[in-house]
Amino acid sequence: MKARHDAALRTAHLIRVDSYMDFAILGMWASSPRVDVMMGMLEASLRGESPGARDEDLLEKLRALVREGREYLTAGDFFAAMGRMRTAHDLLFLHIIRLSDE
Amino acid sequence: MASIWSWVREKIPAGVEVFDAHAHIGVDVDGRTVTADEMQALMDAADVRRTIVFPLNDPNARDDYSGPNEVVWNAYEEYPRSFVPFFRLNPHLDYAREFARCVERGFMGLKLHPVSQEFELDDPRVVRLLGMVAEADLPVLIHTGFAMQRIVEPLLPTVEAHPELRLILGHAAMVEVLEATRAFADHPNVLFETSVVQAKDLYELCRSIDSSRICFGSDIPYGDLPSTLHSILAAADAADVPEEGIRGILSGNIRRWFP
Repeated sequence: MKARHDAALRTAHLIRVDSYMDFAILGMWASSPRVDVMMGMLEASLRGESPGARDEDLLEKLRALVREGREYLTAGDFFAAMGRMRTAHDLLFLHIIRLSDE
Repeated sequence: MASIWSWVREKIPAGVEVFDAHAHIGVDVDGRTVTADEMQALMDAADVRRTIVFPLNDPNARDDYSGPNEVVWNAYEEYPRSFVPFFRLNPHLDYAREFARCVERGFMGLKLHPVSQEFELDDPRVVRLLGMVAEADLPVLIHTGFAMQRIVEPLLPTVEAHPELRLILGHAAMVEVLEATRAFADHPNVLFETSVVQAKDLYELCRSIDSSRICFGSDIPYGDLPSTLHSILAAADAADVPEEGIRGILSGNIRRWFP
């Protein structure tokens, strides 16, 4: 059996988060009435420890950015919210790209 | 966001005067507005020294864009050390007079938006206009980002016909970024501008073409300076772009055209 925190499992976990982030960002651009639900799903996907706790530094940043983004969105500041989400997304997939090269 | 912004500040090499190659002043049909004072305040907050500015998709454009172009010119007169004024045209309309007026006025470049004005890059009216731009020795920034479906194939013949044309690919040919780096690799007057492009696309860009061909942009008001600076700096960091390359992306490459 593979280690519980090998690169494949870590990548799988991060790709899952990435897909929920896609939903949320697309929901924002499309002004979906379900965008707050999508943000909630994204926050849920970020809860808990990453496989082997190997990606906690990244996830801590993502949790903070998504929390700020959701707060700005609720307050009606779309572009401040999108700035946080864009930055979170960038951090996430650059981390995945680096992980692919480990 | 504070820690992210701190990281961005640390990544900007000492002494670099950041040059934003893509931002808007005026009013858009979607309700967004940016004034000259607001733009200057955003630049001051992020320590950005110069910005290329042009009209939004203005509801007052009417026949020739002269009204929105004058808004940009007035902004330039108010902040001549901060703004580099580009004018905007609609290739569907009779653009020759407004083109001549703006060149005479002293505008420093042209902005075209194929999505907002609904034209293809190989439309004969566009090809003719780009020839006029090359002859006038003005740079042109073309939106090649969101909602574009054809970029390289319709644009390449014009670039080959006018190798002297100074072309800024707004949003770095987003959906065709890799193909664009191949097609335009031997055309040094084509720059890839980075605004609101995802960092994974920018990583591919940084890995696929020399950094001297890349310039930073924000697309204010659709992007903001902290997150767009973060995107290109994080992508360049992942792609191991050296500090000298970062200096060029943030400032030096576009300053070759606007010293």
